[in-house]
Amino acid sequence: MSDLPALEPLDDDDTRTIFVTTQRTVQAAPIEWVHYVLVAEGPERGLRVPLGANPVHIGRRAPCELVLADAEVSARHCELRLAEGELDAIVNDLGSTNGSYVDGRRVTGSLRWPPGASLQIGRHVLKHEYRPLREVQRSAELDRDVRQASRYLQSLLPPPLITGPVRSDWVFVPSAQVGGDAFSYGWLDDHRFAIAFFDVCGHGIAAAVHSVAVLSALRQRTLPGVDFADPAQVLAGLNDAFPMDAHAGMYFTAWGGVYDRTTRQLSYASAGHHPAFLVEAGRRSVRALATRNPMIGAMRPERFATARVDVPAGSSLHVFSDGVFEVRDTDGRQLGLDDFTPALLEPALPGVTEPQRLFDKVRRACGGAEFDDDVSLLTLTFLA
Amino acid sequence: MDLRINSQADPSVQLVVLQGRLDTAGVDAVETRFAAATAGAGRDVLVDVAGVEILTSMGIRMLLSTARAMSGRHKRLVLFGARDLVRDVLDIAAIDSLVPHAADEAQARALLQG
Repeated sequence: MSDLPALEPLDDDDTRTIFVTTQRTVQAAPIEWVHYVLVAEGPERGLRVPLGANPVHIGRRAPCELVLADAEVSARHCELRLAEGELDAIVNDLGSTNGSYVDGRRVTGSLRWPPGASLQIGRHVLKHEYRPLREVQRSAELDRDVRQASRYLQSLLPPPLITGPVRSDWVFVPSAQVGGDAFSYGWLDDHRFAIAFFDVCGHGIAAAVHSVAVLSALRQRTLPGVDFADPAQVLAGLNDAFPMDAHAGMYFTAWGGVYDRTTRQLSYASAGHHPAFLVEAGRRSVRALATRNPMIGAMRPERFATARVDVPAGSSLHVFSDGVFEVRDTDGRQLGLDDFTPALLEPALPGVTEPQRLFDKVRRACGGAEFDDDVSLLTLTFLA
Repeated sequence: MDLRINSQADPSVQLVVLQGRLDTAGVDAVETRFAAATAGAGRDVLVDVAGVEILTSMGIRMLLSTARAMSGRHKRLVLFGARDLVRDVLDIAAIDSLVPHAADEAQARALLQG
């Protein structure tokens, strides 16, 4: 017997259309919920460990189930276990030196740790998650894809040059595993060496996708009608190829140069990018190299301005993204380019590349905190 | 990031005040309201950025996109009062033909007249 209401018979001239359907009973698949300990902040950010029937021990060394490489974490710092029949976890401090803090409250003995609450241990902040298993699995898949994208982008960057008249080193640290900084360099012919550095607005996946497109155009030299030995033409070509209206409103800043070893001159042009810096071999002077052009993709200037500088033997050129210096120090003070540039004249450190030395200095200035923006530092040394 | 709109006796100019960090998070917090207060205002706009602590690439993108939208409607956006760090960023960006900036409100109004 149908459960549908009886329908009145239609007259021949009735123009109504009646849709008849049947009620469907959908059997929802059971959702499995799981507790997790997520490292939300700190050097080990991103680690996620399930919290189930067995307790999770956190400490600086194995056999803890969650090992945090953190000098402020005790060898066996605390234990986490689920409260039976409840959603809360229990934090049991194991006599740690620096303590454990649940939402800012120090754990003396044991303390409840509800889902969503924070647990600070050393320089790390952990979160208690209670999430569907399938959702966590999808996040993990996305994380794997992002890491793969990051490896791909890094593979497109040129390797450091350890031989020849021009040497190079670099540091590349995207803020979100992938970002919009990238650079390329290489010999155009037997005496001209080209450099291109750019920074797509924002960071993350969208910026990375755009930077790959720009990097490919530079690596493959596919900008039509462009003499790649002329930095102004390169910038103009990029500007024509990547208008922000056609690229989801994205623009990028750029710095380009061509070094001619026969004349020992560097011609350069920048577009919305802070200066690169040329430091002579004795580190007694530094020269800012920039020309005033709008960011790539934002406008259509009549021409891009270039300039030229002599390069004494042994000079180093430092090109870097603004993520290097737009940081806050340990007092919360916002730093700028002028706070960073004095470091360029400081002595080299044995066994440490210049980009690494500069990166470490900035990281110390902001107390080891993670960078908000992508960080790229490129140093080229012109030996001959 | 905070945004305030000051209604002015002058019907041809809207004054918008931005305060805080104009970084990715700051832009997320105010972008929609900023667009409504500027491109959607139907008149020229002065933006007081004296309270902006830092201007990152996403902040520039917000300003640039807004200025381009207003330019299409023959309206202009002028910033004023930028702190040193912010002013340096604007100078380097070299977008003053679209997003001009002045030292103070009086000079900003003069730019609108010109």
